[in-house]
Amino acid sequence: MNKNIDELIKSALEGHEMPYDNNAWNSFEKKLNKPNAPIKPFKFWFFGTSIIAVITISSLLYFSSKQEEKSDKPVEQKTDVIEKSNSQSTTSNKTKSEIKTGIQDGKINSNELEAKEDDKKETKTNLILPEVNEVLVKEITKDLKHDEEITTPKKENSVITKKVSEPNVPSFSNKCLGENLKVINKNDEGMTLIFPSGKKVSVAESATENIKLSEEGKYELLVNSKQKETYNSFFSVFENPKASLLVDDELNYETGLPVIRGEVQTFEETINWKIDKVVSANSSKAKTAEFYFFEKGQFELEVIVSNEKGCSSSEIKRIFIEKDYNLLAVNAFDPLSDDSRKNTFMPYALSKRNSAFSLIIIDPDNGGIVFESSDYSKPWEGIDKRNGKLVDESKVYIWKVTLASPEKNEKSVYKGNIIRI
Amino acid sequence: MENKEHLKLIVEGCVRGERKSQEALFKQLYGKMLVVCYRYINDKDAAQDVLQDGFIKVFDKLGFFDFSGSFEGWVRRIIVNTAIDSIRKSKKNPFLSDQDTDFKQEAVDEMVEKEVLEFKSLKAEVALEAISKLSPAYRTVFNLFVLEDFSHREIAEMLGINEGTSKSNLAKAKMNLRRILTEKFKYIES
Repeated sequence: MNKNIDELIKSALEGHEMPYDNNAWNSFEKKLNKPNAPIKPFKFWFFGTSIIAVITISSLLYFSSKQEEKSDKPVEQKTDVIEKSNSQSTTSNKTKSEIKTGIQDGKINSNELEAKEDDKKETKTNLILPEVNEVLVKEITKDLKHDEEITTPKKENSVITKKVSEPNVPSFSNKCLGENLKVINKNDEGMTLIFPSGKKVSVAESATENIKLSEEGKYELLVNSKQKETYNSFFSVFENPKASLLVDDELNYETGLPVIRGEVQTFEETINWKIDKVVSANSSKAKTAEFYFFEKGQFELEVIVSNEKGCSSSEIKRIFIEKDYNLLAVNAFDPLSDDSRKNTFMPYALSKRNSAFSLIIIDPDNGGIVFESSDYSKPWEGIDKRNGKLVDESKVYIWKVTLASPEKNEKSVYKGNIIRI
Repeated sequence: MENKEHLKLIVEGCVRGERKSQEALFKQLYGKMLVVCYRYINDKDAAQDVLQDGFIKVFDKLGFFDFSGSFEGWVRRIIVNTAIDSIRKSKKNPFLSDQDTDFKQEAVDEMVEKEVLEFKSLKAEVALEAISKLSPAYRTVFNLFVLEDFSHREIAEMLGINEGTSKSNLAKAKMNLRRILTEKFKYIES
């Protein structure tokens, strides 16, 4: 769409490194040596436990050796004790390492959640990867396949083919929740898609899988390679924006025009309204939009809301319009009535709309013009201008209005019947 | 892509507490991670401190890294968390709303937006400087959303704010960045 501020800054900082400060390691090393470095308490604990363990085991062995001494030959006592003390030290060493493992296990257990969480978060942090679109990915894989085809016969005779065996990891741009990801694995090894929750989906070698992206967060696509390099790529899946659409139940004629107003409730700023055949009355990017319904029928009003991550959701509401718009004209009037609302004829919408117009009343018998006006404050009072007399009762006349500036997609000529009662 | 074996050697050395390995790892990641810190903390010394604290955590947790994912990403995550913790400690509710009155402006100026859109690219230093001028609340959300690719829901959870605040802070951050950059470029031109 446009190069917005986030893209601008993101691309500016991509791969950027600050220069190495020669003193940085020295000053860090000092901090690392400080006793309050977080590694220390663990070490003390471990050290203390080891000492206790050594003492306990030493004393156990000491007592047991004493028992042996009692029953065995007294002459060899000395060497035996020396041997025992040797074995004592080896045993204690062994125990020490066992304890060490135990402690580490303990730490692992107690921190397992943390570690897992870190793993999980880690997948989220891997940033700014080169984004290649899927079409490009297909091309790359196609190329690779082509290479393989060429080099396969060589394989038996030469070593050069190794170069081609480098796995190809498709890169994906960021996706939206619920989308399907098509992974084409052209490699000799299987691939694994790791979901943010840790769930794994495998794509067998030379297979294609459609995987539904049912979780929000960072995904990692990994080639199950035995080589020393890690062949992986990352992409993120973002939630779709929430939107709720409210639409008027009936037409609103406040401006003399047949308007239905839609309002979308959402946090997002990118809004698109869509409706067939109907013209939007105002900016179609706003959270509220108005539409003119000049013709009867059934319509579907759709609003699409997109967030900054390019994910969108849409809501559709059906709208039924019962009759065509006809300038809100009545079909009967009574020139002799005292009621000023019904003793003249002028299509009501013309009093509200900002459009110049011409109204004519036609005698259907001969096509003669009975009345003319282009001013809504001068309605027809039932007088036939040809003879200056009130027209006949119960006779149907035709009215015709031509609008000088109709709305977009609105017809300019309206017609109808009017009867004097 | 990282050379797994080489990295494994360094990491294993670090786990054994070997200074040489620790130094190698520190130097390898220093430049990139300092950029990360500097994006969150605009004071150079404070950013260095956070980097050091972050590295201590990295060395402490290194034994748990299982080489299944990106190592740099794993380190970055720890550094980002350390930076956020440090901001959190420095003020009571730094993420709740804007603390910096200099950049309070209600409406987005369309002219400003247009002017910035004309820039095709930006130097990293200029981008960093612009980010550093944002208040902590705006800067953090901008970093997490735009540069770390977190969603508003995740940011809200991380910072203990609600999604609406995250969204509005992001909008204001962008608005201020536009203004900061436009002013900067105006100054250069004149």
